[in-house]
Amino acid sequence: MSTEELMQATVGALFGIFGAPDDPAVAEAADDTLAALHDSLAAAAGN
Amino acid sequence: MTTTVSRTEIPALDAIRAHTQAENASAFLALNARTETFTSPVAEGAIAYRRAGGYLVQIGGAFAPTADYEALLTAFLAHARAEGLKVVAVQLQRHDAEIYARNGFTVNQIGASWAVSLPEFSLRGTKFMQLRNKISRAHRNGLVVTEVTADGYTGPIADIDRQWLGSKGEDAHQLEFLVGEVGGDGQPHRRMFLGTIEGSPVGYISYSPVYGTRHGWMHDLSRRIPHESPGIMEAINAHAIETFRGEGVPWLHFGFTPFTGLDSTQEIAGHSLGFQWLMHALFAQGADLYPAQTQLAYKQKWAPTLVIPEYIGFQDRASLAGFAHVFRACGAF
Repeated sequence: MSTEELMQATVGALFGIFGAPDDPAVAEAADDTLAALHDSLAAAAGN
Repeated sequence: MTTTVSRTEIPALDAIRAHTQAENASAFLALNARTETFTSPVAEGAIAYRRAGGYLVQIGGAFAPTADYEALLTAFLAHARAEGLKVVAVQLQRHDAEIYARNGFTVNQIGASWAVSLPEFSLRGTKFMQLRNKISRAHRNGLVVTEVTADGYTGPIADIDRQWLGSKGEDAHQLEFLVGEVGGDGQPHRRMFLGTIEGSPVGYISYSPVYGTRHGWMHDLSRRIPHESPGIMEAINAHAIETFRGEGVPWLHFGFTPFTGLDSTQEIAGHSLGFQWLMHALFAQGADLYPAQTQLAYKQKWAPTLVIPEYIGFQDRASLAGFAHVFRACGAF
């Protein structure tokens, strides 16, 4: 996914947790998305 | 052995008064009625938190002597682990944030708190013209502001709360935890200023004590009856400011607003770039989650002299689930 797509996915994942706060699979997938966004932003910044 | 006990059994107040290295203006929120206090026999001090789902959501850092700070944090983390829970800490100050990062947390700026230095504060000058006009209008509409004891106004306060909440829509409910409250063991330490029009209460602001080198009061809970005169809250706060200035109080704090005051130079090494982006996105477009821009606009009316970054700390990696559970601990969903 592009950085832009990861940004949209991150916001979607956050609201997904509000809908299913006790589902560990939802939480894990959301945190993976956030980590992927971090990596993408870091790569774009040349870090 | 560690222990966790209800706030009423442990004087959390002693800990926040004694251990002020972090200069946390919101420390008094540790005394909120449903917030619990963690203590340990291996370290002095206290940690304030609430359980929300699989998380212990902590407010502020450890209120502990420097020598015991990390031992208390370690004991708290062990307690959480033993319960099968994770820790997420919110409203960490810079002092706390650096220690948490050293202890394996990913720490990001989540917002800022805002404060006004009172000795040099004045509403004179063109920058306050609109604010002065608003305050004058409220007084022309009959507003009278007095300092009161909350205990004597339980009914009117409840009525203001009910009408205020009713104006927020059918699904609205009062936020807790990171928001002040009226009543409970903390009440004798707070101050309240009440606005009335023709003898009827129309709004109030509750102020909580702030300890440390930037001691003073924090503009905490504020409520008003909707559709009353404009400028009610501003007039009440202006009255309180004059009272505090007359007493030689050095600081008025406006408290924490998430997603505001974001400054990349204030981030801690190892922070999440993804979470940093999310905070900016929520400031710009997250009003449904929290009306940060509206809250900030009110605080900026008073031309704050100090912007203090506040942080969130996640055990291990940055976590949307941990972030969401801060809102859950506040009763937002």
